[in-house]
Amino acid sequence: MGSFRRFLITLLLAGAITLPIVVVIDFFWKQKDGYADHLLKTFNNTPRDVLYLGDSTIKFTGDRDQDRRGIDDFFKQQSGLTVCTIASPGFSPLMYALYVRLLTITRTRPRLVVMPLNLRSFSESGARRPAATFPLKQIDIRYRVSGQFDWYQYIQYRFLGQEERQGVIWSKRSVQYGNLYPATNREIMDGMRIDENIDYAPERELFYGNRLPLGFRYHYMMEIKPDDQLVLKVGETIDFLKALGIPTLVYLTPINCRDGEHYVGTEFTDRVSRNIEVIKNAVRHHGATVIDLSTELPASYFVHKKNVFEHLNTDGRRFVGEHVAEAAKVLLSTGR
Amino acid sequence: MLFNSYEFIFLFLPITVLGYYLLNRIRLTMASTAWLLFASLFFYGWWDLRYMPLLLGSILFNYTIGNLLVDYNTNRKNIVSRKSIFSTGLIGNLILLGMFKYIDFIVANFNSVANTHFELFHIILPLGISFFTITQIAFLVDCYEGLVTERKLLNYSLFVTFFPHLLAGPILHHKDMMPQFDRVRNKVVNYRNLCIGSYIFFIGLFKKVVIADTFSKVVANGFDTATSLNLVEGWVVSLSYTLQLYYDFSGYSDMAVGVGLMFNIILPWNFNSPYKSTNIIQFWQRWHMTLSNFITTYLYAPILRSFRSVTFARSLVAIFVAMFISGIWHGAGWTFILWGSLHGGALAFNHYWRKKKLKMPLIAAWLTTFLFVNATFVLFRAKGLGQASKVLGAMIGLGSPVLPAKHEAISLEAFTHNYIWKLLLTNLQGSDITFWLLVGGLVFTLAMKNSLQLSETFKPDWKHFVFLLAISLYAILNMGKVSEFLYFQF
Repeated sequence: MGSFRRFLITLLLAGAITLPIVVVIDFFWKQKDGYADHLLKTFNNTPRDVLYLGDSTIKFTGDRDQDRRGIDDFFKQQSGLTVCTIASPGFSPLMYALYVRLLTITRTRPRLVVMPLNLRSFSESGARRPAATFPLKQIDIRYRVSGQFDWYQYIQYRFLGQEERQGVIWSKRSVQYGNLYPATNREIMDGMRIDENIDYAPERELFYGNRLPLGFRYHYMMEIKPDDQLVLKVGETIDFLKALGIPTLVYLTPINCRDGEHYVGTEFTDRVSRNIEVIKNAVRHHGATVIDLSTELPASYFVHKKNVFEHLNTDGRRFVGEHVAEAAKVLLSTGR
Repeated sequence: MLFNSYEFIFLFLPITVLGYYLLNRIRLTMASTAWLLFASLFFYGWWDLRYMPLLLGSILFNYTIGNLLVDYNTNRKNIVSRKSIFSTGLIGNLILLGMFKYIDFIVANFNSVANTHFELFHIILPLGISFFTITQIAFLVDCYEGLVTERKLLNYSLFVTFFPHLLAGPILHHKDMMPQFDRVRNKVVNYRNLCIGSYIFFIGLFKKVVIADTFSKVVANGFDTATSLNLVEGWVVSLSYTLQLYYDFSGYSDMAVGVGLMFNIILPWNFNSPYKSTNIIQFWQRWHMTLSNFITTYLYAPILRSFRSVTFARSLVAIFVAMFISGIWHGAGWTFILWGSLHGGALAFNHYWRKKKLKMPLIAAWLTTFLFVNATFVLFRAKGLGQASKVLGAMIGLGSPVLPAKHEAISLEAFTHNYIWKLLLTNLQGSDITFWLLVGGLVFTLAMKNSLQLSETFKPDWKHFVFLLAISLYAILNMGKVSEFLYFQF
C-alpha cells in the first residue's frame, strides 16, 4: 500500500507542477497562430509588394473546377506583383485590423494592402458569431505586437469553454431583420440548411424554394449603419495603414444578387445596395480606394450555393483577381 | 456536469472524495453515504435543476413499490395482489419513460398513418432517464422474485443516483451495489484503488477527448451531407462513427469505473474489445456488457418462460424480441427499431449457425461481424431512415461519383501533394490526415489492449507513472470544448 500511496502523492505533485508549465507550452506551441507566423516570416525575410487579406472567398473552389487557383493567384498573375496572402474562412474586418498591426514589428512592409469586404461578415452569421471572432488568435496577435499576454482571457477561452458558452448565447439570440419571422440564430440556421450539393443541379434548387430565400435574407438583409462595429473597424484599419504609409485597396466581394432578387424580390436588391453604400461611404471617408464588385457576376459564377452565396468558380475568381489587379496597378502607379 | 470538464476534475471530484473519506474517518458513516447522495444529486442537478423532482419522485415511487412487494404477506388478507403491485410499479416506470422519450414518436407516426395533425410535445428528454428507469425496473422485478434483502432508503437512493453511473451507465444491479455501500472496509482510504481508479479514469478521458472527438467532425460533416457522399466518403464516415461511438461510450464507462473505484466501489466493466469479436454473439458479450446482462435476465429469460414449452426455435424468437425491445429502448425512431431488429436477427442466425456446427475461417468471421456492426451503426447515428439509406447507399456505390474530375485525380501532382484525399473527401472537408487517422484508429483498436486489460497489469512503477502523467495532461489540455457523450441521448 505504501508504494501506491507514494505513487499517488508523486502523481499529484507532478501534475501540480507540470500542468502550469504545459499550459504555457501549449500557448507558445499549439495555440500559435499560423497566419501570424506566415505574415511575420514573410515580411521579415522576403518582402512582398502586397498583403492580400481575405476570407473563404479567396481560396474556396467549386467541386468541378479544373483550375483551382485562388483569387490571390489570379491577382498575382495579372498584376505581376508579389503577394503575401492572409486569408481564412471566417475572417472579417475584425481580424484584418489585428493582422495589419503585425506590420509594426516586421522588418519590411508591403506597398499595398488589399482588403476584401464580404457583406455577410456584417450579418449575424458573420463576425457576430463567437467562433468568427477567433479569440485565441486575437490573444496571440496582441501578445506578439504589444508583449502583453492576457492570461485571464486565455484561460477562459482555451480551457473554460468561454467561446462555446458565447456560442450558445448567440444561437439563442433573436434575429429580426430582413422581414424574417422572429426566430433565433439557431432556428434560422436549421431552417435554411440544405444537405446536398445543388451547384450543378438547378432542378434541386426548386426543391429548396423555402430555404434559399431564408438564407439570402439572413446573410445580407441586415441594416448596416455607419457606426456599425465592423464599419468602424474598416476605418480603423485604413487609418492605421495610412499612418504606416501603406495605401489600402478595398473591394466589395461579389454576391449572388441575381439569385437573391429571384428568391426574395426587389427588397433584397434595395437593402443590399443601401448596405453597400454605407460601407463604400465609410471607406471613402477614410481616404481609401474602393471597388464595388458586389453585383457584377451572374449566378452561374457562384458555387456552394447550399449555404453561402459568395464562393466563386474559376471564372468568378479570375474575374475578381484580374479586376483587383488592374485597380492595384493603377493605385500603385498613381497613388489614387 | 460532464466527466470531461474542469469543474468536475478539479473541483467536484476532489471535494467529493475528500468529504467522503473525512466523514468516514470521524466515523460518521451514514453522513458519508448521505454526502455521496448529495453529491450525486448535485451532479445531476448541475445539468438542469428542473428535472430533480422527477428523479426524486421516481426513486420514492420505486422504493415504495419495492417495499410493498418485499413486505407483502400472503398469510394476510390483502386488498391488492402482489402481481398488481408489481404491475403498477412496472407500468408507472414505463409511462414515465414513454411520456418523455416516445410520446413525440407515437404522435408523429399516428399523424402519418391517420392523416391527422396533432402537435408534437417537444419534451426535453431528462438526462439519464433510460438508465435510471431500467435500473429501477430491474430492482422491482427482483423485489417481486424475492431476491431483495437490502432496504434502506439512503442506500437505495444512492444505488440509483450514484453519480459515476447515473447518466449513462454502466447499468448496475442492486445485489452487487448495495452491499458495497455498507461494507466497512470500503469506508477507508485505499491508495491502491485511488491509483488504479485514477489510471482508468484518465485512460477513459483520453479515449473520449482525444480519440473519440478526433472523429466527431468527419462524422458530423458526413451525415450532414449524406445525400452527396461518394463511395470513399461513405466508408470513411461509417468507420469513423464506429470508432467514435466506441471510444466515446467506452471512455465514459472507463471514467465511471475509475471514479467508482476512487470510492472503493467496484462498478462493472461495459466493454471488452468488442471490435475484435469474430461473431455477433461474442460482440454482445463484449459491447455494453451490463445492458446485455440486463437484456438476458429481464427480457430474454421472461419472454422464454412465457412460452408453454421451451424449444430452440422459441429461444430464437425470444432473442429477436428481446433485441427488438432493446432497439426501442435505445431511441424513439425507426432507425433504432431497425437496428435492434437486425441485431436480433443476426443473433438468432448466429445461434442457429452454432447449432448446425457450421464453420468459417477466423478472418472471414471477424470481417463479417465487423462489417455488420459497422453498417448497423449507421442506423444508430442517422436522423432517419432516409439519411441512413443515403450513407449506406454511398457505401455500396450508389452515391455521388467518386471523383468529379477524373483526369485531375489520377495526375501525379494530385497524388504527390496528397491532393487526392481532398478530392475524395470533399464533403467531409477531409485530407490525407483524415485517412491516416482512420487507419491508425482501426489498427489501435484491434491491436492494443483495452482498459480492462491495462488496469489488470497496473503497477505503481515509473513506466505507469510517466504514461499516466502524459495521457492525463494531454487529455486535460484537449478538454476545453463542449462535447457531450453520445450515449447521453439515451
